[in-house]
Formats: sequence, structure tokens, C-alpha cells
Amino acid sequence: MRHDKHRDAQALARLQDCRQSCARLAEQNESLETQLALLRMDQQSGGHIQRRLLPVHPRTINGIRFDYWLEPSLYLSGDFLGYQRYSARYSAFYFADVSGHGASSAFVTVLLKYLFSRWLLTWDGENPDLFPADWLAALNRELQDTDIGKHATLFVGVIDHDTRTLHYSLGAQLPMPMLKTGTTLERLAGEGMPVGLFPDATYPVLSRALPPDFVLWLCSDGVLECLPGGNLEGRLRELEQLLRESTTLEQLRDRLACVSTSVALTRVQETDTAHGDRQALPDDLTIMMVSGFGHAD
Amino acid sequence: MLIEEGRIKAAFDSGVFVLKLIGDVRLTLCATLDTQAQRLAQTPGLCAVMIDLREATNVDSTALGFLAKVAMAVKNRLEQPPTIIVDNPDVRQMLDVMGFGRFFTLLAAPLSSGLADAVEDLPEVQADENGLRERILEAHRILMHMNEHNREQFQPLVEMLEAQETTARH
Repeated sequence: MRHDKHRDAQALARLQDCRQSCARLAEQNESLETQLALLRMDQQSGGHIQRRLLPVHPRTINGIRFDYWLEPSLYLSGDFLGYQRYSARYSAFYFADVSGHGASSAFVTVLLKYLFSRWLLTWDGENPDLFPADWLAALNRELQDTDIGKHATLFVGVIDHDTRTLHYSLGAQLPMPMLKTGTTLERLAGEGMPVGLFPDATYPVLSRALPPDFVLWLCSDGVLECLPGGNLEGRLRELEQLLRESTTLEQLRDRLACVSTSVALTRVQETDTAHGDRQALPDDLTIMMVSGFGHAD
Repeated sequence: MLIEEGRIKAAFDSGVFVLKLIGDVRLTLCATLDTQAQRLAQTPGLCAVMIDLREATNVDSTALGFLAKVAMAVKNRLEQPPTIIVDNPDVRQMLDVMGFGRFFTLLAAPLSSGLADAVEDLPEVQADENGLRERILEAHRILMHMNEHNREQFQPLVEMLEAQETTARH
């Protein structure tokens, strides 16, 4: 075969091109990895701040024990909650799921925390039955006015320790809050619109007498993604079964990890490793447990 | 990283805007879709809005928020509230819990041809209501044709939605 200088030159040029693009890719790859690490650190520090804004847990207020388990989909959560002592007679709490998840939803949870504290500070201690619905209506106006295009599902409760009554209101809470007394489990009644979605929404004023020994369970809708069952009702029944069997938050968490169909919850619970992404949950997952009475403060 | 199988399709024909949500629709990481809702509401010649959720297995809260924004944006522009066709009991329950019944007409199925005949048998009503009935019937015809023929006219809205979704994913 005749030696073709021209073809050699062409091949050499192609080889050089290849080497160059390879080096470029390696460079780009490195730069991307640096950017990703920066973003991850940014998210992680945001997550740490958000955890700090959550209340200490478990905590006992006026003989009622509040505890929760909150698992963000990735680093930042659109789920949020809070509980506060108002007086020796009243304590108030809320449980929220802001639409979406991640940073944009997490910002709204900070706003919620602030608005809840402020509303509680300005409450005169009269008409505890009206407090939850009034706050939701105010919150609805506030979110509409800020025009951030986010809405939230919420449950708000005021516990009257003297009369042993739960005054509550809710905006589109799903799954419904479950009240466990002895071996019976009941879905708390009531329906309300999500907060921040529709103008001029009104919220129900509801009350429920609390027995001396009760557990109130609140779950964000992220829990539904972890439960087996072909439809919503099936998954809700599965959840009820788990709640019936569980007496502590840890028990419920372990049982949930066992039945979880979508993700391995146990992997997510592991602390963040310095490198590598966490496995994302499809949605934020939060469970809150309120139990009483008679816990020592 | 995130598996998203949901899709949104849209068609606009004879004054009827049809949005069809398919599969597991998650717009979770889209910050807000207000602009898109406003843009939809400002479509020239818009007479009715219909949302078909029959092929949706799940609609996430951001997507529901978007639908609510659409209802709010068209509230004073249309004679009738937007219609949602939903036959999945889970999705229906979610809409009920979220109070969508106040701003949408919720139907389990579009009016069938049999029903359409029945509507024609109704006694004469006011002219504008006739026109409205015509439009609603037309919307249902369009909806029924959506599956048979691949004649969806994609609106800028959908492109924008999908572009947002893609951006969010990467």
C-alpha cells in the first residue's frame, strides 16, 4: 500500500482534536463537580438553619408531650411545625406542609414560624376556640398579599389544659389528623381550604374533648408515598393500622421503614456523607406526635 | 435524579382552552406558575376552560396551585367557572379536600353523545345560555377527539411549562 502523507496528517489532526476535547471535558467536569459541591454545601447549611428554627423535641408543655420526626426530601423542607406555651392553661401548635419542596418552600416555612409567634404574642387569651380559624384566615390573607405563589396545608390547635379540650382548625390537611384513645383511632373531623390559594377563604371552628390519655398523630402527605396500597383510601387504612400498632414515634418510624414501598427510608436517615448525593425522597416526610396528659414538664 | 413521568398538554380551539394532565404530574420544583396562568387567561377569544385529569394518576400541590391560579385568573372573564373532568377517586378526593368545588365545575366524564341529545331536548332557554351550551358541547367534542387524532396544538404555555420542568430537573 502506498504511503499517503496526506492521510497521516489528517489522522494526526483528528487525534489531536480528540485529545483537546478530552482535556476540555475533564476540565468542565472538574468545574461542574466544584459547583455541585458548593451548591450542596449551600443547601446543607440552609438545612442546618432550618433545623435550628424547628422547636426542641421532645418537649413537654403543661403535661402535654410534643415530639416529631421530619425528613426533608433532599436538604430543605417544605414541611414545618411548631408548638409554644401561651400560659399555664393554654398551649398552641401548628403543622404545615408548604406546596412543593426545596428552597422555595423552605423560605415560606420561616415566614410561617414568624407569623405564628407574632399571632400568639398578640392573642389576648380570650376565645381560644376562635384562635386557630382566625390565624388561618389571617395567614391566608398574608400569603395572598405577599404574592409568592405558594400555598400550604395546615393544622392549628390550641389545647385548653383546664377543660381538657382541643380547639382546632385546618386547611386541607391530608391525611387527616388521627386521635388515638386506648385502642380506638379516629380521624378528626373537619374540612378547610388550603392557606394562600383562594382569596377570602374561611376556616372551620372545631373543638374536641380530650380524654385523660390520648395521642394525636399528624402526618404530612409525604407519608402516603411510603405506604403500600393501590389507592388513597388503601394507603390511609395502612397508615391507620401502623398508628394503631405504634405507641412511640420510633416504633412508627421503624414500622414505616419496613412497609415503605418507594424508598429505603433507612438510607435517608443516615447522616450526610461528605461526598455523594443523598437518595431523594419523593416528598418531605413529617410525623408529629402530641400526647397527654400527665407528662412531667 | 428525579423521575417525572407526568405531562401537560394543551389545546386551544374555538375559544375553548383544554389542558390535559397525564400521569404523575409533579411540578414540585417550579417556584411559581402565576405568569403562565395569567398568560392562559389572556388568550384572545377565550370563552371556556376545561381541564382533563382522567389520565392523571397524581397531581402534586404545585400543579394544583397552578390550576387554582388559572381559576382565579379567568374568574371575571368567563361566564362559567372552568370545568375539571376527573374520574380517579384519589384525585377527586384531593380536589374536594382542597376546596376546588367552589371555583370549578367537577365532572366525572365529559357529556356523552347520548347526553348531548338530551341537552338538545331541553326547552328553549335564553340566547346566551344557548351559546354557552354550544361552547361546552364543543369543548367536549374537542376533548373526545384529543385521543383519536394527534391534533393537539401546543401552546407557548406548554412549552414554557416543560422548559421550566426541564430546568428544574437539571
